Amino acid sequence: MQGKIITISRQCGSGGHSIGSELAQRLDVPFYDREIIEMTAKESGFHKEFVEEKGEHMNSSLLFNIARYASYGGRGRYEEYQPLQDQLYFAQVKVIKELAEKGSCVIVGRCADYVLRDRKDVLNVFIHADMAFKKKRCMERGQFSDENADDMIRRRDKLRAGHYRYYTDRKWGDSLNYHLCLDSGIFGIEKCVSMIEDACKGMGFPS
Amino acid sequence: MDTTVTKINPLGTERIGKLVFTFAVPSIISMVVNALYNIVDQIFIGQGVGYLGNGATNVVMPMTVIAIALSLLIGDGAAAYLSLKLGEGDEKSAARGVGCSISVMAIAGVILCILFQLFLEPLCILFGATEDILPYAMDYGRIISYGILFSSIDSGMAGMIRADGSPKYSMAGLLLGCITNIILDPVFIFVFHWGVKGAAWATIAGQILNAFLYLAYIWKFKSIKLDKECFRISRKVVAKVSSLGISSFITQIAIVLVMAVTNNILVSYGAESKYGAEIPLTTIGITMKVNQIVSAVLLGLATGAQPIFGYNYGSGQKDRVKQVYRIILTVSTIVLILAFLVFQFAPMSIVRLFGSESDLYNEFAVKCFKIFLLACPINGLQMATGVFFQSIGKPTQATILSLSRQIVYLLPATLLLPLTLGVEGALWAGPLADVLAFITTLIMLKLYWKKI
Repeated sequence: MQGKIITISRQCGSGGHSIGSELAQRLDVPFYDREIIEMTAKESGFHKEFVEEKGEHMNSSLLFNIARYASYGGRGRYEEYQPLQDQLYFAQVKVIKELAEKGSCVIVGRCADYVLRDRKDVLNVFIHADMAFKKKRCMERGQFSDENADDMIRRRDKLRAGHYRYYTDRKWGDSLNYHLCLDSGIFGIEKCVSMIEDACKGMGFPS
Repeated sequence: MDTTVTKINPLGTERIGKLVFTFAVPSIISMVVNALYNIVDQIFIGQGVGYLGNGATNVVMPMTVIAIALSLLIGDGAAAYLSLKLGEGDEKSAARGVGCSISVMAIAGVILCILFQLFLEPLCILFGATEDILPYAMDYGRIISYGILFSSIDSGMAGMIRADGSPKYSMAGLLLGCITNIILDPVFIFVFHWGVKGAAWATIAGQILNAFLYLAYIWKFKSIKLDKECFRISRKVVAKVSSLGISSFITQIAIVLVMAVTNNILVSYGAESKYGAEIPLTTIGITMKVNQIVSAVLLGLATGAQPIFGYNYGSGQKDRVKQVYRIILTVSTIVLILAFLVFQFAPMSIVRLFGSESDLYNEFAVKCFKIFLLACPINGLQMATGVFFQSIGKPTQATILSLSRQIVYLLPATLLLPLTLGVEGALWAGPLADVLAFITTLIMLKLYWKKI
């Protein structure tokens, strides 16, 4: 059996997690989302909360960018001491590559589409949706409260985009990076799952 | 890049005192050597040429720092890019980043050299040269700007070589340059009587040797293979590399700003005082450079401790993080108090190193040490805290701390205090900035310490 890996990149609240987990169930392959946090924590020796906070979010504001390498007294000295977030990213890359080696799976987020770019057996999917849909989902899960949900969702996406741009030098959500871009607000979770499943079959998965 | 994982990382378990010692010593040595490099010329010029020669080096210094800023923008950026790409296992991009950056650095060196040659006189005047100092500054600056062709390679490639895993090679280049300079300075100045020109030739001789050693490393890179293709300049890579190096650039430019303003203030207010324009310009330069050596010790200590801070913070051992912070703070403060005692009670022992001059000269030099460095013992807090924030992934706070003293406090104070206090006002700007920075640090600590 030839392995196939599906990476799902998603806007906050678009239902990427649910789509991924449902898809993995139907295909009967392992599903990795939060599991990666634990594995990265183990790999890097870092604390789980720390991995969760920094694993796919990065502040990309100008000041923060300037500050990122400003060691005291002006020397970047990156080479002597890498920023924690980079150490974390390297551990995460290693984890994702190992998971992909193990065989077919569904991986959510964490630049997996870029990390696995040299493999030929990967289907990259991007899930997005309109704000109303995303807001509703986030509030149903009690993730954010009503009044600040819009801002929180936008902020989360901005942090993800910043993280993606920094490590991949590509634009997050640019359709050229993915094989399939779906609007879950229009199709709904179920339909998205079956469309991705169908696309997999198109690639001969699982043969 | 070492990505093998051992479950037990000594950073998380070894005794803190021992860890700080092993990490900080090499880092302190490299910082101090770097700082000494700047001061050696001054000692020989002071002894062999006199204080006008020393004033000339102060005028040329901002130009040197501009060159350093540019090569760090590319060099430190490329070092970060190299580590980033290697960490991810992408050697090809890493090689392209390094090659492209070396090309850009070489070109930038040539352009800067030409610009400095063309505009040497207006630049010297801009950075505070008086009529008496100008001929010395022109002599010194003319030769020093030829050196930029090589010094841009030196400061730019040092980081890349360290990032490639050869910190000793990088250090060897620096030492080679420094020692060459120390040997040739007395030969050129006292034996050949070349004056400031001799000091300049000695400096660039060291830079040239250093550059050759570093350029030879192009064929010795361990983690990447550089072929001709790699040296092609790609706009995308340059953009990314400079975005990674921008902070090194900005901190250097901040130094240029402070130097340019201080030089000009001292010259214009000095001219109205009994000291004249040249004495304050020269003596404050010496004071700052001596202080740089003290800062180098503190910085070396703190940056050496970064990995210990970082690992323990990331793995959730907050107690150990705070313990490291306390050790750094204590040691820094002890070093600073010792320096303070020398500055206050035996300033002449330092001043004499840079040549004995008139009574007026000595009087102002002593004032520089006593007033400008009056508040130095409290500087330890601000430095230790800045590096601390930096290494636990709070770069914004770190930058606010590191730039606030120079830009927000020192610069305006240097401009304003002389209005009422005359030339001595520029000296009082030092302790005032220190106290304000100290208060800023306390506020930052109050805001964030609990959340750590």
